[in-house]
Amino acid sequence: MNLSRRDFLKALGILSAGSLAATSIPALTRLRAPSDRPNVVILVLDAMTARNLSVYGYARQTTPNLDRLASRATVYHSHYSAGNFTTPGTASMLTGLLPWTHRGINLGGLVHEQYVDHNIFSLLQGDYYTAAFTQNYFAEVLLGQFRHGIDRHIISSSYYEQLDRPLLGKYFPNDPVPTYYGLDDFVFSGRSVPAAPFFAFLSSLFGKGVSLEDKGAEGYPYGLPNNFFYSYRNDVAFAGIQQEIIHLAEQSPFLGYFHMFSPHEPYRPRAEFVGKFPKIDVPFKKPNKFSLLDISHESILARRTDYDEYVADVDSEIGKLVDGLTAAGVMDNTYLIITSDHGEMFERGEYGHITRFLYDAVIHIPLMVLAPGQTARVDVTAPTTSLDLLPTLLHLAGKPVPEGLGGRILPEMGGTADAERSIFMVEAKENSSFGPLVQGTISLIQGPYKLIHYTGYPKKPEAFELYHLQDDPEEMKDLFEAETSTASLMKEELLDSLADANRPYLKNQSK
Amino acid sequence: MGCYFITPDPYGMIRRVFMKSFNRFPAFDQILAVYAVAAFMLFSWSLLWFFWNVPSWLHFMNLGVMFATLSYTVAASFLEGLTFLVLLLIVAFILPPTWFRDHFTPRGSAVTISLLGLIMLRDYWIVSENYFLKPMTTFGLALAALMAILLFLTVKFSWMAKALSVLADRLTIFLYVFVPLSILAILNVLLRNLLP
Repeated sequence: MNLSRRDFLKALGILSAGSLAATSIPALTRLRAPSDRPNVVILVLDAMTARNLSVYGYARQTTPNLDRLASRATVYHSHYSAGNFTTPGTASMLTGLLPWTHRGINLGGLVHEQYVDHNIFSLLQGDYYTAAFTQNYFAEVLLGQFRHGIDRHIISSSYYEQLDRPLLGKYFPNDPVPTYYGLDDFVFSGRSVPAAPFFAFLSSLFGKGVSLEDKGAEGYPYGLPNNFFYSYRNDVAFAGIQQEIIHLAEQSPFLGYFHMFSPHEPYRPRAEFVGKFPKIDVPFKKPNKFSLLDISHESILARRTDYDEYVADVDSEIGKLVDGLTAAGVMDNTYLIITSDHGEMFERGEYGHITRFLYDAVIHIPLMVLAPGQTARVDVTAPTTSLDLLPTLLHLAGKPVPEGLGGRILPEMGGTADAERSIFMVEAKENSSFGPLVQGTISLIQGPYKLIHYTGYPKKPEAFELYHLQDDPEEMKDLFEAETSTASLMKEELLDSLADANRPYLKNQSK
Repeated sequence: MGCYFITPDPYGMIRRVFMKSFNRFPAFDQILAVYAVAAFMLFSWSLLWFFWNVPSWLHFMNLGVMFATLSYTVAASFLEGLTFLVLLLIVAFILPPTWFRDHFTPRGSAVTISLLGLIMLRDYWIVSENYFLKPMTTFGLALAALMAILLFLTVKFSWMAKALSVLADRLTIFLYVFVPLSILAILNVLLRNLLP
């Protein structure tokens, strides 16, 4: 076939136009038409236990602003995180899967490859402009894994006051996971021995390598809030995300995930919140079979008070944030979800959340949803889990909810309340994420009962505990030997579910 | 009688200045020997702590992430060694040649061992909750004392200078491992960041 010069040029033009169109298709699909879909903002307050919030009945008035906002929100009273620290708690919230499935179970761990695209951002991207920010570096690693679903990833150190070390991860946006482990948390490590001692030394000499905690800071008697990588001010960080959300509203509909580090330890409230609360009478002397630590009651009481003061400080920032968003008109078409990744405990000889325990203090977290136009308070007492967030958001976005999720659509958001549903929590930070779960703590809540199972801990016996959460909310009286029929049924369900979760790994081992 | 014209020769002048400046630096084999000492200390340190971390990383890192992490670590150590060397060369350039340049291998090695060694000890102690060397004044005094002793020994006793030179010379063998490893690590880092 003879092809004239004119035909050749025509063909070339058509090919060029075709290839241009082909490359433009993804961009075109991202240009969303004006939509009546609501925006969604998820505000995560790290390590905020529901047990210490006055909005959930705590004796100290720690959350007057949440109390105020609750008058036009849906308040979930029995909301549980699937894990007791950031990695499993956040990964479960974002993937809608239990830790024994997604396998983000270790300190600073990762979600397994097959679940990397199974997250809130990827499942909503295209229909929603997705944005994410976290001050918690364990969560930042997860956002690094989920980066393909995030249209705007606001770097973690956006609102810092003073760096504790150089943070280089931001210069390697295409490779965030190894740069975190290789550079930010190892070469320049501030928590362990830095792998690049000369660079770290130069940074401490010439950089802003000295944390303000040593010097104190005006208005912060215990020093500035710090996330182990940098110091920050909560008022600046909250004001920053407020501006970010207002800008995001121009991209409506958008999904914004904002994971603030406070009130995670170190507890550093502003001066106006220090000494705010009177002494409190709480039961400290609780049964303690598996504690790693043994801290005096006086010390734990002091920690609890510091924490409560810090919660009050954070609560004031939440109030200002929501008021600012309301004034800017953002709340008119935005669901604001206020929650946490895990709780914090001050009992049984321990404080904090790096623990083997799954008592309520460390897994019972707040969940409040402020819906557009909502004017009255709605209380939901049926148990819910952090896994419910993903199906709920998909439902609100008008998208199908995939099969196989551990969660359900939240009651009052399109789902129905089920007081008898089974809710699991998993703690397995000492277990390999690549093998069957043989060492850890698993908890099952069913109706008013909670079963806790300890398994595989060296020099500790296999053990079960059973509590009636309504009659005994402080989990003081173990009913495992007394209520044998309930205990037996729940034990069977827990062990069956654990066996199901372990099956793929046992198959791999037997190959 | 001939007529001579003085032609301006800016390139020659620049060349002379350059050569004069260049001569203020030590010989290449001396630079290599001192770099070998720094590289040996820095690579050993970072690889030691890398493998110390491996058991906990194995809980959740696959081999791909682990090797990428190793690449960043090795690349950082390589650049760290070069940075340290550049600083030593600047010192050699500034000081009178008889003080440092002419004895670059033994005195450069002494400075390297005392400075990097003390920084490493300080880091290790801080993590072990021993804060003796944490204040910069204490660290500076300890460093000055250690460096003075080592430099004095190298000046006073020729066997000491010779021992340091021999040690540095022996350590250059490790560059045959460190340099190719670093090039591979840097290539891996570049590929991971440049490829989509």
